[in-house]
Amino acid sequence: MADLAVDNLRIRLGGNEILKGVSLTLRRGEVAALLGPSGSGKTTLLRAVAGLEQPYTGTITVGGTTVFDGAAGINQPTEARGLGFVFQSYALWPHRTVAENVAYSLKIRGVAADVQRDTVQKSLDSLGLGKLGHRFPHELSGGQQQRVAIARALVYGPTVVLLDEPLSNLDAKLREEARAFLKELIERENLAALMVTHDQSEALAIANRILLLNGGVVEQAGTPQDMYNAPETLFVAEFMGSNNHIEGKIMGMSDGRASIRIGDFLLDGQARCAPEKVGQAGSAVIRLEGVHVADGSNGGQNHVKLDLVTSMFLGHTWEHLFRGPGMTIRTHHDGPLSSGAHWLHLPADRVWIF
Amino acid sequence: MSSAVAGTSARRVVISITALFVLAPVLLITYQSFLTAPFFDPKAQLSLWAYEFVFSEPDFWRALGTTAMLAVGMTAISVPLGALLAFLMTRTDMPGRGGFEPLLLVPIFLSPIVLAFGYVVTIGPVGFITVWWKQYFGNPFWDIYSFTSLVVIAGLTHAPHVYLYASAALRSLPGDLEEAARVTGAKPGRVAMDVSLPMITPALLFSGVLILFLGFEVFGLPLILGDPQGLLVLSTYLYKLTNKLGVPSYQLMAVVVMVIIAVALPLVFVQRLLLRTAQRFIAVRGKGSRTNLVALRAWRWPAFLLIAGWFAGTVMLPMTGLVLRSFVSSWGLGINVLDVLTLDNYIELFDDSEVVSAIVNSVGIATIGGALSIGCYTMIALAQHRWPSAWVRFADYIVMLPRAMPGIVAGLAIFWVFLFTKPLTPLRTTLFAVWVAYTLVWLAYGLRLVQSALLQVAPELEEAARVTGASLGRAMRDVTIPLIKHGMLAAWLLIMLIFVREYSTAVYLLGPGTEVIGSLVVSRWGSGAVDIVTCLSCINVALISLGLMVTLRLGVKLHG
Repeated sequence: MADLAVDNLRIRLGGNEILKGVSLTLRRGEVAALLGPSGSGKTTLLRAVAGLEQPYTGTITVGGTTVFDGAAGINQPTEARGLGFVFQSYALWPHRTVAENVAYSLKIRGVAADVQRDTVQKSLDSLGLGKLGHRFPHELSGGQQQRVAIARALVYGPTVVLLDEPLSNLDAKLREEARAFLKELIERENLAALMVTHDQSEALAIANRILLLNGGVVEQAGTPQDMYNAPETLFVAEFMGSNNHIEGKIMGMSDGRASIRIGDFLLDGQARCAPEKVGQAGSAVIRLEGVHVADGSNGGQNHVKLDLVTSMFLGHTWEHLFRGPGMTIRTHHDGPLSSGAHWLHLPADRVWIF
Repeated sequence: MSSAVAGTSARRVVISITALFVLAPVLLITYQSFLTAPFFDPKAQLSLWAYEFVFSEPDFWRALGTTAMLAVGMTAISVPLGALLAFLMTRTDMPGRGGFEPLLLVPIFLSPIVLAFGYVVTIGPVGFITVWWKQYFGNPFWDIYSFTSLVVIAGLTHAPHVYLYASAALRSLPGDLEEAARVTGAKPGRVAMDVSLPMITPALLFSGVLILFLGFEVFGLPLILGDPQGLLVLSTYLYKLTNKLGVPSYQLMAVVVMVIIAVALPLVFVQRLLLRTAQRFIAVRGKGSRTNLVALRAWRWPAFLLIAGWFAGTVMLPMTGLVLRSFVSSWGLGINVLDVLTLDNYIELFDDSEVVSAIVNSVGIATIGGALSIGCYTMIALAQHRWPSAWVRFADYIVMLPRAMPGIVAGLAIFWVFLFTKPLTPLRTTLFAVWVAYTLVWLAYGLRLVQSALLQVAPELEEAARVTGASLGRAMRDVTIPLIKHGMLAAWLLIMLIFVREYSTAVYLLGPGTEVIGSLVVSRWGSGAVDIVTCLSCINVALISLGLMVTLRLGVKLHG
């Protein structure tokens, strides 16, 4: 049984339909990332699960209890849903100490004072905040504040935890540490976590499952590997990773393969479009790391000779920009390249044609 | 489920009570205006008679005309003056800007009636300055009781309202807009006219309507300065109407009140509309970069003198006269001021039990009453707080209604409500009635103070309490209210100042036990007790100054 189930949820805010029928399920020990561009409805979905936004139809079930059912008129208030919520800004109460922030949910539930103290201390200890209980939030660093926010969300033992861009307020170095810490914590506590992020690398790293939202619908859902390696639509292909995008005319299609013509260059790839598109304009997408510099070859299938325009040193690799008639290709390569024309290989199993 | 319902019904209850509190006086006035006699008279019948009577009165039309001319005249003075003050203070290198800053807002907190007394005892027919002038130069060229004086004084004393909005707009004007004009080759004066002024037009337009609106409401100045020559405006006409027919002519007063509300309400709506536009302009915030101040060069000192002169004429002159008058036993032509200096006025003051209770009541209603009012405003603000509902929009409109009721009108309306509602009648002669009237008159203002504090609370702080399991009420108690504590304190201080300053609202409620300084001076001035009036005025100003100092000391901004 799913610990969190959302079915066909629709939300309208001020006349605009923000969510147009979204469904998802989540089990303990799983992290689902809601990914998407801004305005795609991912935060709205998260807030609706918490009861902070009002859907007009659909259902939300938490731990087997229906907390929202538009048709049946069920709408549990936020406080009755028993969820953990980590806000993007952390939303630590500035007028309460760290310990008071964390203890608040226990206080509300009428837990005895000494039990409160022990539970809070245990929770702070497990997050490496043991000695900071008496401090006020503004006396903590960003990373510490984030841990307090997590402690506050988890201290009363919710099974479902909702995280709204939990890492976005941390600087880049801290973010990588926090990412690993968060993943470990969720697995250790056996939580069902739903996390909003606009950062795909964060989603790929933490999540067992990614839901990519676009314009209020789930464009594609799947494991991070599926999402990255087998995008079903152009939007997904382009949203994940760094890509080359080539416009052309679709020439033929058979056995899941398609070919597209750019100028007089014929490119083969995996078909991701309907057969009716043959003869029409289409796009080819290939990840930067899919393109290989193939100097020494002298042409062949999916090989193209392009001029090197500029090169950038990225530290662990080089990025080169090539341009030719009708296409601009970027690729990663171990070292610098001499100026002039180079052969590039675009392997057919790495090219998607939409 | 149940807690959400409980929260929502609590909100509904608060908004319903507010609506009742606001609508009851208005409905009673409306009802009364269509009766032939006071509502308590069993012979009263529904009719349009009162309207016909008032509209056929030449005095009424004269008063309406005078009011319109006064409102337009003072707007014409205070808008350019206030805009100029704001420009000099915020955008130029005029000397002494820092020192003037708090002084400029003082007239807003002084009671207009106290200022009027001050003018009478300094430049009135037997005022200090007039008497001296006569000794050396012969007859003075001014007449304090003329319509021109009234307009000029009203215009000068209302300029700070314009200054408030114009300077806020000028400060929030991104400096780079002006710098961009400078770079393209415009001189400072040109920049002011082509960039700064157009950018603050919404603020000026708003303050113009505000002054126009205040002009329709003024009571103290025309009562003191206009009355000797029979110059009536709507509010003083209403005041004089009390005994027009020998018997209480409630129906006629109700008609006049209806006219006042009918004029004021559209102005309130226009203000609301304009304020939104003005704020949209202000919302275009710059990076807070320090802009280069306009160098006034040779005009630095003339500019300084302009502001100093305005302050001397508007505050120093009447206040000095008032203080001086309170320390002399009598005054007139040929009296040497040193011969008549005395403390007797103040000593005698404390033999007058009415005066003593007026002071005690004023302080009490400002401190305790002010706190209770802020409590009420906070309840109403919380009831509306982050609740997307038609109820909130309804409440938004409801709270605008009292704004269209000048103090004297609201005081009268509350007086009637207490008379009309039998269970409340015994309370009419208590301070409670005065407090209710004050709370009603300042509802919109106080509510805005609390609401602006609430706006500072990030929504997720409250949401965080909700998700951890707190009900709506619990989250407000544990998170929202502790976080707006300072805002509420600031609001309390401001309301306190305003309640001490208030004079017209309690005029109709004045009686044994309900005296406050403001209403008592109005009635004592009528009986010619200049000594007591000036002493009480000085005490009033002293209380306000004390409050103002505390307020400024605590770093409270003087406008909401």
